[in-house]
Amino acid sequence: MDLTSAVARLAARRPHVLVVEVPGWGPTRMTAERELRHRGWVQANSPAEADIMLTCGVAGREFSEIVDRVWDQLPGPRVRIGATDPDQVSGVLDESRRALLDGTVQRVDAEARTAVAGDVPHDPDHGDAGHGDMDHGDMGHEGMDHDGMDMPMPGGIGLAEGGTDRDGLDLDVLHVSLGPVLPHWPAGLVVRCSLQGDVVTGAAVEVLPAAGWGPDRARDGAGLMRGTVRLRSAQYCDQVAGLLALLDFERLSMRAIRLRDSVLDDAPIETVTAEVERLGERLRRSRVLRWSVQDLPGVLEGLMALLDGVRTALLGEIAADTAAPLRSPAAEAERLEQIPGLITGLDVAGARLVIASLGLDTAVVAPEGSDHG
Amino acid sequence: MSGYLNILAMLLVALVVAGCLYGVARLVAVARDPLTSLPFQSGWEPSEHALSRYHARYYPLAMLFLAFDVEMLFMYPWAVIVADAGIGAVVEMFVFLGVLMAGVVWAWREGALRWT
Amino acid sequence: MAEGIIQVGPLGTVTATVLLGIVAVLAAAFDGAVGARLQGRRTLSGAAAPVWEGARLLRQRRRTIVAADSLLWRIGVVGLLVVALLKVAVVPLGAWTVADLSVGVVWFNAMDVMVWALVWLVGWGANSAHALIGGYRFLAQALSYELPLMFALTGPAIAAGSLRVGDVVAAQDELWFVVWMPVAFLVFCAGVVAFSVWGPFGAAAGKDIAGGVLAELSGVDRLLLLAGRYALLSAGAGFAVALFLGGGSGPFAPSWVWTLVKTLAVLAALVGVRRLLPVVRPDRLAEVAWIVVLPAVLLQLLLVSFVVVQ
Repeated sequence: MDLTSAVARLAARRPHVLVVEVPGWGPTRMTAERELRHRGWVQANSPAEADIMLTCGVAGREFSEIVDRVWDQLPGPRVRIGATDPDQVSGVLDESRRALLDGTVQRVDAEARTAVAGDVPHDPDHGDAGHGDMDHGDMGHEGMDHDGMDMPMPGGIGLAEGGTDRDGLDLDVLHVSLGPVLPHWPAGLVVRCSLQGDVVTGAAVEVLPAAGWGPDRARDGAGLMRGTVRLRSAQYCDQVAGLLALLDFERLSMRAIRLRDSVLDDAPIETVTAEVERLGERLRRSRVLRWSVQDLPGVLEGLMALLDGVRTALLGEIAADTAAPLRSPAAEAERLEQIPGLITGLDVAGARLVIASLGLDTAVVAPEGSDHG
Repeated sequence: MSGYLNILAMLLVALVVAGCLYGVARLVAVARDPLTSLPFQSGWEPSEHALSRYHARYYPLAMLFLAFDVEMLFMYPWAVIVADAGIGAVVEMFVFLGVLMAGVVWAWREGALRWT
Repeated sequence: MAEGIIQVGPLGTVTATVLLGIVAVLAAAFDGAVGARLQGRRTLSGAAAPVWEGARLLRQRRRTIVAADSLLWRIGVVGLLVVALLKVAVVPLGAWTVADLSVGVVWFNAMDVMVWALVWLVGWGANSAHALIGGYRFLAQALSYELPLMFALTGPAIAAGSLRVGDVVAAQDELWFVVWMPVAFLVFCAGVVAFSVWGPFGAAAGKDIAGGVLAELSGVDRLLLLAGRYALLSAGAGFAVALFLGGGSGPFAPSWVWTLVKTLAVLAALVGVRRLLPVVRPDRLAEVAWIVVLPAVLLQLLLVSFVVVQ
């Protein structure tokens, strides 16, 4: 057993954390990312990779079910933590590491999950009880169940069926939802894609709401939400970093992330704007960047606009305005509606870059139970 | 032939290394049996199995590749004798490569190298 | 048998395996150190990453997916490391080599084509949409990098008039091939990065598809695949040294030291390139690879052929 605990101690030096952001808790997620960076922990790209799942914010009902399902996919040893305020992040991370090291708890958890984990979601009753409101009827196994098809499907999941592609070929269609749990993805956004190969042939968009307004957002009389200019600026910077991270351009994405963290850390405005300037120059000069997104109209422009937003938002601070108005929910909803048109016909890689370049702010979407929905 | 015996030995060693890693993992991992999980789809249940007739849109490129790839059969033996065979062999091979390359350029103009 | 090249006994395979292991761990440590530096942490704190990551993945439970093609998945996962070791078998260390094949160059080529199947199997086996997309992305990328890589391999073979790796090394006694085959050398290095699913050619394991072929892998399976990638990079760097950088030739130190030093230098460059460049989407790569790189390599070969027939 000594060997096991020695390995566990080494393993816990560099845990991988799957960070889930609920709309409205961007600042908490950004703080978490900064904390991970300082600790040298790693952000996981998928539950299979993760030891720890950190939920930032309070998810609404449907979102909670999603998070539960992702939690079931963590292999273990695993620890589930949540933070609803940036100040909590450091504490829960410390705690999670201790829990990760607790061999007995982890073994019990693993034994409890033997053989059942894969079967639960396929209980026919479960599908109806848990997802009665989900728009699944026309795209999956539930529809097939009702057609009275008796063919036993492996794992209770249907087989892909054909559909006509753009060249008139009959090819299998997969229905894959992108989001809400996906790295470098707008919080709570769900894009339900029909895929042939990796080409998006159709898409529908929704945002899974939170259970309440995030602590960092208050609403003014006009129904517009207001955040501090610092947060607004950091958010732009975060979106720049996210797009560069999707391109796996780590040298520059990491620069954007460090810039974002310095904005959050109240670095002087001159320092920030100077770095924005340098980063912008670097991005403009990068021929390889330009070439790699050349076929995707609007991506590079979107990236530069986001970077510009970092500075513009901060300059609001100089104008002695302590709160910057965010986009109105109506304007944001309009942008969301554009997504299917923008990504249909692109492959998944292109679609993700295009969506990232929009700089969506899903935090303005009203939470569950609010009369502004 | 002893070279290939050593290759065989290398294959065995490689498999033993992989086997040892699996063995150590069995000793150390929190659970010996694998966890059966749904595929990761951002938290949604999959509506169908991913294993399907995948639309590989680059199939014209694959055809082009095959045509060019078979050429390597000639290239390797040619590489060994070209120094002795002299300039004639060079001309023959590069005329052949030139013909192939013309085919590539034609396919390029037909759009076989773009699929998005 | 090439002069100056000694084929070791079957037990030499163990030595080669251990050496490849050490070099691959050093590569991972270097990558961790560079990453830590970029993140603004102490460089050394990142260098221990392979140890921590190794322990983490050994402790982590393995996963299987509902209705996964487990056998094919497993073959793909284990295969990369196996193929890397089979490549190393023809890479000489100083004067020693595990397998002195008369067609060593072709052997290396055959092994790197195996990677096509293996990476695709990892993507296919998981029965997961993200992994599947990753697997097919790799095939699209392979269609672009493989031909230039093959032709780059033949350059040194033409110059040496032999497909035996030992002869190729011996032929560089006076002048390293990198000097008059810079294009072939660069293309070969790019090919190594590409068949290792690394950095700019890592679209198959891209962040945009939740890690692609890596998306569903956990525990020791994931460890094997990650180790396989570093091993492929290391084997590729070693072969680049033999083919283009004069093998073990160098002053003062024994030749095996020179082989290792040069391999580590090339490897550092290959590992480091990951953070410098964005990922190249395979559909962007195709045109450049076929219309620019392929003719460039062919011209390089033409030049080499003219030199040897003189």
